[in-house]
Amino acid sequence: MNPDEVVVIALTALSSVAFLLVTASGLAIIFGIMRIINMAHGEFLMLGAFTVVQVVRWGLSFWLGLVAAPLVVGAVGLLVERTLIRFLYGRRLEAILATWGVSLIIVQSMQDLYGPLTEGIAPPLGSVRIGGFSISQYSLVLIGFAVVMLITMYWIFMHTRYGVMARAASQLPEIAATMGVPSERINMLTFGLGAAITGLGGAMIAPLVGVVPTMGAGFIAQAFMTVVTGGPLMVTGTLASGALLGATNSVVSYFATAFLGQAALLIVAIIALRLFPDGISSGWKGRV
Amino acid sequence: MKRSLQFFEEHRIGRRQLLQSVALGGAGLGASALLRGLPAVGAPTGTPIKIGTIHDLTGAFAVYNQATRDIVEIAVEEINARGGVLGRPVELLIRDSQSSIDKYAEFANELVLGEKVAMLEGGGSSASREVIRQVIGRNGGPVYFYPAQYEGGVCDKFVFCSGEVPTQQIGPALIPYAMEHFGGEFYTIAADYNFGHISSVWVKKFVEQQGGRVIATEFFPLDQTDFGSAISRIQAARPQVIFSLLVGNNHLGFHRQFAAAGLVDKIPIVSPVFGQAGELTSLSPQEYKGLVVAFDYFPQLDNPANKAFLDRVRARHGGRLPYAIGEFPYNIWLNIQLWAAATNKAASIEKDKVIDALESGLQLDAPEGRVRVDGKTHHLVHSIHIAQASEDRSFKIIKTIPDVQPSYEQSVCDIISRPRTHKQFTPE
Amino acid sequence: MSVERHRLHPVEELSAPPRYPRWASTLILTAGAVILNFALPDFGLHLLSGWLADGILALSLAFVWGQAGIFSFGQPAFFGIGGYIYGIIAITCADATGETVTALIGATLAGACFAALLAYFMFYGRVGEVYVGIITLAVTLVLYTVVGATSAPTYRIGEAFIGGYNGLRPIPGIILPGGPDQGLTVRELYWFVVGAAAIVYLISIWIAKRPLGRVFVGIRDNELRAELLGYDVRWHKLEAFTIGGAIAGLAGGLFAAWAGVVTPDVFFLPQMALVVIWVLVGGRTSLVGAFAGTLVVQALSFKLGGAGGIVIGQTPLVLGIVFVGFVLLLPGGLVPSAISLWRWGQRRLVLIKPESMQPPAARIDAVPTVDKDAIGYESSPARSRLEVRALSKSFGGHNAVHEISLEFLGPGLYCIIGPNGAGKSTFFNLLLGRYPPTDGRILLNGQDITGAPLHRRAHMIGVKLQLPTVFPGLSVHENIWLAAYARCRDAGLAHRQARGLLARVRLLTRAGDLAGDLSHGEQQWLELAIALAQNPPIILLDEPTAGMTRGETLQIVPVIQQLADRHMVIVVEHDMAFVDRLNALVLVLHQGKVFAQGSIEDVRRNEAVVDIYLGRRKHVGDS
Repeated sequence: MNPDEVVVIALTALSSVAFLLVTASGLAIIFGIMRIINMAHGEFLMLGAFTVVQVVRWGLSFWLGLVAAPLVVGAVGLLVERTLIRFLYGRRLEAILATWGVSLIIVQSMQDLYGPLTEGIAPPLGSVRIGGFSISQYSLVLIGFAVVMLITMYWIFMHTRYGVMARAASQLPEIAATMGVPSERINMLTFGLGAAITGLGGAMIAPLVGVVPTMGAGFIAQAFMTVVTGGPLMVTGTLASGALLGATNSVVSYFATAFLGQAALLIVAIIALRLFPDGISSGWKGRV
Repeated sequence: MKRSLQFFEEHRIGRRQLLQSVALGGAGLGASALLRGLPAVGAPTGTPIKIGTIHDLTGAFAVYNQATRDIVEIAVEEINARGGVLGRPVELLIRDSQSSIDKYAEFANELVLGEKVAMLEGGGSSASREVIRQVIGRNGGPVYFYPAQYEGGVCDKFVFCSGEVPTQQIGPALIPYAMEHFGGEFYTIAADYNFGHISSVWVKKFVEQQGGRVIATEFFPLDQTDFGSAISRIQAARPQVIFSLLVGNNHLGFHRQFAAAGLVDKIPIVSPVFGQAGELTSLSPQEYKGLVVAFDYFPQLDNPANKAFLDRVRARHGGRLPYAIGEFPYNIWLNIQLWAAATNKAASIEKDKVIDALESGLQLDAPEGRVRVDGKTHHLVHSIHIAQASEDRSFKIIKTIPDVQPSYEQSVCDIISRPRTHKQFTPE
Repeated sequence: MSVERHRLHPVEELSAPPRYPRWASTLILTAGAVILNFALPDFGLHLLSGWLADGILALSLAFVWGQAGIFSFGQPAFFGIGGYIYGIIAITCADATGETVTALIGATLAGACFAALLAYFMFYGRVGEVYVGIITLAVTLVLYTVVGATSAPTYRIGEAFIGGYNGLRPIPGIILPGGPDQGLTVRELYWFVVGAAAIVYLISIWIAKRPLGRVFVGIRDNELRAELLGYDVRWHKLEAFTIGGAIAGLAGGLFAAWAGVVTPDVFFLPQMALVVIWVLVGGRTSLVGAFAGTLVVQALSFKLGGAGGIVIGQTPLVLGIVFVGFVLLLPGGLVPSAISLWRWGQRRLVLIKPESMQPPAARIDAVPTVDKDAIGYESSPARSRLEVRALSKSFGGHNAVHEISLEFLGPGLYCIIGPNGAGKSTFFNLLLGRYPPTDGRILLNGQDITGAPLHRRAHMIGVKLQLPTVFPGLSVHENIWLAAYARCRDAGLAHRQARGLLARVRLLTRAGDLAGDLSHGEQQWLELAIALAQNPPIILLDEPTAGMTRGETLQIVPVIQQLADRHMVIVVEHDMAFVDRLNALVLVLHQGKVFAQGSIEDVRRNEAVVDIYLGRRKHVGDS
């Protein structure tokens, strides 16, 4: 195996990890803090992708679309939270049914609005040669995006008032309440933030996938698996599980078949949860 | 609106009184606009003959069925405008299976047991076909038409497959074209399910038969969205042409990522499936440039029957075509026309007589060209057209091969001599 | 006793199982089945048969989730396995045996075995709640991918070609032994499925009402507490999961017989989500709700798919709105909401005064009240000896407990005090078995129990923890009953004991209320009663007066002293006034070691003890 190949395998794996991370991070927030299983997660990704596609269709820049996506999807998240989720805090498991309903509504509404197909967008940058291989620059840029996303999340949860309160509320809700943490507002902001980050993730992957209203379903299983395997720490835990699962899938796919790569991802997740029953980051000392 | 006279000759339709349209729900308005220009033909009378169609109008597979509702309604309207079947109007029962296999079973049961339809049309994936086939088999009928291009091999007395099979698209069309224009070193990428597996077996057979070599065959689960490693591996293998059997929206990502890696100009792709799921709309021209496909139908086909066909669709949408009509909706339309033609020829709606009429080698001049039922195999002898994806988001037809036989099916299946056959053959 | 008491504690997820006359649901369902037989044409009955099979699948989830608290995405896995096994056996053997009932049994067993295997992997590995959901999700997806890869003709068993994504077919329908070879007609199949559904439903109701079922609910409500009472939680979860797997396997077999074909779609995400949706629509805690939810959702999507007009093609939108509406308007699901409505109607329309509304009786049949003095179950107090030798526990370098050697004799009363961080809680948890010691041994009556798991020590060591750990979704009575049952394994005896203890801790009037609705102090009394019900020779009390009023503290002193007449009681406390009155042997812990021992007066006079409490430098050693 020549050095080119090694480099390409490594970069491809990193890119796979980045793909997993940007599509799962928003879920890490919503599930990590609110313990709500958001079945509409895939649809938030889809809405983010559609936002950037629409922005580009209007002749504006892709990068502007990246800014618009979290705003649009964050607003949708806030709407969903205010009209539905906030009634479910005493019965979190029913959020499954509720968010499933929301997902159906969003998908069909988008199909009615846009039709079942959409003209997507091609990746905005070209390709780069590495020895005998060429890989897309955008997939490398995606790695950068993932890093930026994680750093942003870290900053939000460590250095903003909202972030500190959100972490407190998630760990000890009653005590946080007695300390004056406004849990209703925190929950609203958390769901909105989670949706916004997810929308941003969807926008980031839009140039790499087919953007259609039903695209969300393909991401939800892996996103959940990444988040749950990651454990309680939203940033470091998700990063760890994303790296583990994404790299496993990518490398096994390369040397064997895609089927085995997917199976390997599932099996590694199962084993990780067996070894770390509360997630990989459950024993870690970090705070987020 | 002119119609091909040959068409009428086949059906022996005489002159009758004013037309009458059978509309369903919202189709009523479109139909009246549609029928203004038609010649006066006798209106069908008597109890309607019910036919049923089951397709995924919603859900994950809705993308294949954009045109379906329009198409089935148009087909029935046309038939009724020509005087119906056996002088009776045809009543269409549409069911939305919501991309759920269970719903196929439920609606098949409802239409067969409850509504007692004279003909069942429907199915998308092979799994849905098998579910419907099971219901047909259990109830001894009615006659069932499956429209989708698929992996081939179905040999069933009650079933007629109007979709193309690998021995029509791959062997006689795509492989020779690819070998002639691109080279003999193939790399196959396929969706990891029956269709992908079986088609890739055919690819290997035909390529080797014609003097080429398949370097590798790779399968991808249907929900695969990340193709990074695959693209690296393809580059490592240096093929001259890629044979793509990727299916579904998730696999669209391959083309995006392939183009992003700058490979569209370097390695040509041929495919017997690309284009059915609106890929030409979703991808940008640079991303699918030069891709070669082969189907029995393209909207670009230039003949009077196709023009009339497309005009009917345009009439429902204010003069424009709101979507690209691919071979799948076309085959659905064809199913209904074949059944109507066979029933009229048999002069009876009884299943056995209709099947006999079909098996006798029923022929139509259809928008694809001439199409004929191959009685022994219950498949169609199609005209296969090779086309290349072009910048204006359509396909340019490069070559047409008429009368392409379903050769594998002919080699294993003879329903006329063995009428009790109800199975699917697969090549080793 | 107002109505509000019966509402759920707002923080709690879990609700008490809806209580309604047993005959009501059976009557309604039987009547329904009969009416439908005459009202519907053949194809309608055929559809219903399929939906009932789905309903049985939903029942399997309602059982493991609603009853045992295990959230599993994996029920479709057992359903699918059941379907494929039925298909394989039926195709290969039906000609020879002339029937397919064995295939159905095979499907049930296959579901059960696979579930047991998965349960062993998950529960004995101590995987947490949601993580069970993810593991079952992953396993089911692996099945999807693996079964889907079997399209080649080599994948076959006899004449049964697995068929990959095209599925396994043709699968024979149900053929009864001695019956016609073609199998059942549409109508006969309907009755067969109705019968199967009824049997499975009745069996699950029966299990739910038996002690085993109550144990499942206890585990659902508070797994730790159940374990501390002596229930082998992992084994019981495996039991519940296996039963769920069997039910799902049976459903799969029935479905395969109905459809005649099984495809790998059964293992895919939409099916997984759909089962959860069915159960949530019907009401997670209601077993009959599983059928209700399934029928509502399946019938609705069927109707929408054939609707015509503008509705067809909008099915997901309509369903989505319906689901959201359900969640907002019918909390808890169809059946629990219907019951609440019925009760509300009863109260409004029948004009019964609220006070005379009795709380629902405990599930076990009422028994006359017990003589208060007949609480001692053994005639003589048990003598016991608890010895710890050089017991140590360190957490990553920090010695929480450092080489403690002590001997406790029972009956007797001991009190452990010490400043924060002294190691009192750690010591307690070591005795209980919540964590293994880093070093040292624990001997109980001469027997080394250092390695014994929690639930096995529970018979000898009972505990009342610092934070109330009761079963909030169960009634006060059931809480105590579970504890008593763990010990005597006799439902009737446990019932009598529970009532006696209720009287003793003066919670008899709250017997039917949900434990989660009690005040903090009342919960402490309840916990004491639970500890008493266990009647272990050794009772550990961790800050028993926390949250109690001054008056309650005074009341509890004689109770504990009486306890100490018959049991070895070890108390950890902070409240010095309470310790004063207790008249116990006091042990002072400091930095993980025993610092001083003696009567409370001795300890009070000990300067060094005062020092460590006040944190004076002299006795602050290295840790």
